[in-house]
Amino acid sequence: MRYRFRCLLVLVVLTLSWFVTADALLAQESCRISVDTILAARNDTVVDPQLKRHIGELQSMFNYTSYRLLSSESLNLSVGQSGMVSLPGDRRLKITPQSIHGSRADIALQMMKQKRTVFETQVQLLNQGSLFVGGPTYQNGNLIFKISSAY
Amino acid sequence: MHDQELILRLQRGDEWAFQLMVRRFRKKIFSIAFGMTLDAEESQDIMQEVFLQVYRTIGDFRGDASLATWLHRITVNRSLNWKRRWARRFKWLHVSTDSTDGQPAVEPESDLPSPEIRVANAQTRRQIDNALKMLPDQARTVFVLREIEGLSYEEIADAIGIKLGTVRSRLFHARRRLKEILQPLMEKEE
Amino acid sequence: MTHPYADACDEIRLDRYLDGDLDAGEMAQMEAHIAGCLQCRRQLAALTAFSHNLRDRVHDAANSVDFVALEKQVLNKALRQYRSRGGLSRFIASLKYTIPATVTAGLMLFFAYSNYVLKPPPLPSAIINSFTGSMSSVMIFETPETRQTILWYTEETDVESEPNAV
Repeated sequence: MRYRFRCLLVLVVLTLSWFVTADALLAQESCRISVDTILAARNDTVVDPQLKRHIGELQSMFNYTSYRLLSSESLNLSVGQSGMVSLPGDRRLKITPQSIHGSRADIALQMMKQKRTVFETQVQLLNQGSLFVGGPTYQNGNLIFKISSAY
Repeated sequence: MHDQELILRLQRGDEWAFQLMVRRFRKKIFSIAFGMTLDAEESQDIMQEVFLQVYRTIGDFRGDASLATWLHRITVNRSLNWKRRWARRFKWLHVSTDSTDGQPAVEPESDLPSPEIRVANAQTRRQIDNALKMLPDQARTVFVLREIEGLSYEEIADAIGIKLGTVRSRLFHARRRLKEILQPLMEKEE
Repeated sequence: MTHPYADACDEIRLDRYLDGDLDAGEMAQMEAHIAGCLQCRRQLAALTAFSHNLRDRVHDAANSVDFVALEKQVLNKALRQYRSRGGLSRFIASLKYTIPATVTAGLMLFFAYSNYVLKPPPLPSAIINSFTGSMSSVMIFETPETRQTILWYTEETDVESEPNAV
């Protein structure tokens, strides 16, 4: 009885410690990057059901009337490992996590169109946070890339 | 059950062992308490107090004396404390052997049929009580342990925590005092 | 042979004779003395009778006591004593585990509350450390309440541009 009680106490303390330190321990290994490609337009009012969850967020940021989810891709990348996401209009996005520390991941992004680099940027992305990269024209609207990280 | 085993069981809180100890020593403790207090009711209370104290403090018992000696020690201390307590309250009344109204000063309690024997017994009781009460506490304690419990000088020395020579000395003084008290009776019998 | 102490009254020796504390030789001497000494015989008789009567007195008093009932009383009192003492001791002992367990639970609740119930002020979803590119324009926004970061750019090759997209 006394032994079981002590074991339970140790277990509780370890669980608590895990909650406190989990972020720091796991974040250093890899992260999951998601890229949602959204076509935003003003010629109609269609809202993709898959974006229903994000419509409030989108409408608060942009003044488009319709949003369509064109693609959604996720990559599990280790620190230093690059991944490529194909985007509409012969575009590609190269993603390289460089370090993961605390609540942010340092990520290098390289947007390419055909074979030319459009831009390169170094961002610190919040865990479970997103960066909206938008602007390129496509069909009747503009492309918005929602780049999210989780680790 | 051997004393050592009894003590071990008592220290473990064994209720049956406690019951056994009470049964084994109850009369002994009562007798010592009565010899010192000459009060049956108080002796019963003292007996209870002794056992409860043993129950409480058996964990502290180091086994440097026998269980019986330890019980004797506690009983003597409690009996002496009783005496001191009641002495302050003047509970002890001097009971005269001479009754002015011709009736015995203390009602006899006996189931013997003959009234003469009852009276004789009552007188004897009074004589004993009066004689004991006249003994100083220290002498009386040794006398009671020797004559009622039949303890040896060494056992008395252990029980009270005095030297062997002191036991002899106190016993001598107790008997000397008793001889003085009983002198008139001695002359009458001859 | 007459022993030098045979005729002398010795109270101390008489005491020891009463208690059987004399060796064989001393015992014989004492008995010889008693046989010839009235005073010692009287004292011996009186003390012996007194002791005998005292033992009877105590025996009678003990016989009038209900030891069975007394025994029950003592046992009940002792058990009550044990339970109240045991309860207290058990309570104190349990504190050894209760206090650290309570502290741990309190810490867990505190962290859970801090992280999940109390909403901390939002941090910027992304911080742009560097940006290089060949484009017409680039704008970096942050929404006021949720601090969502938006990077809006216009490619050089774009035929149409939406200056009011955001």
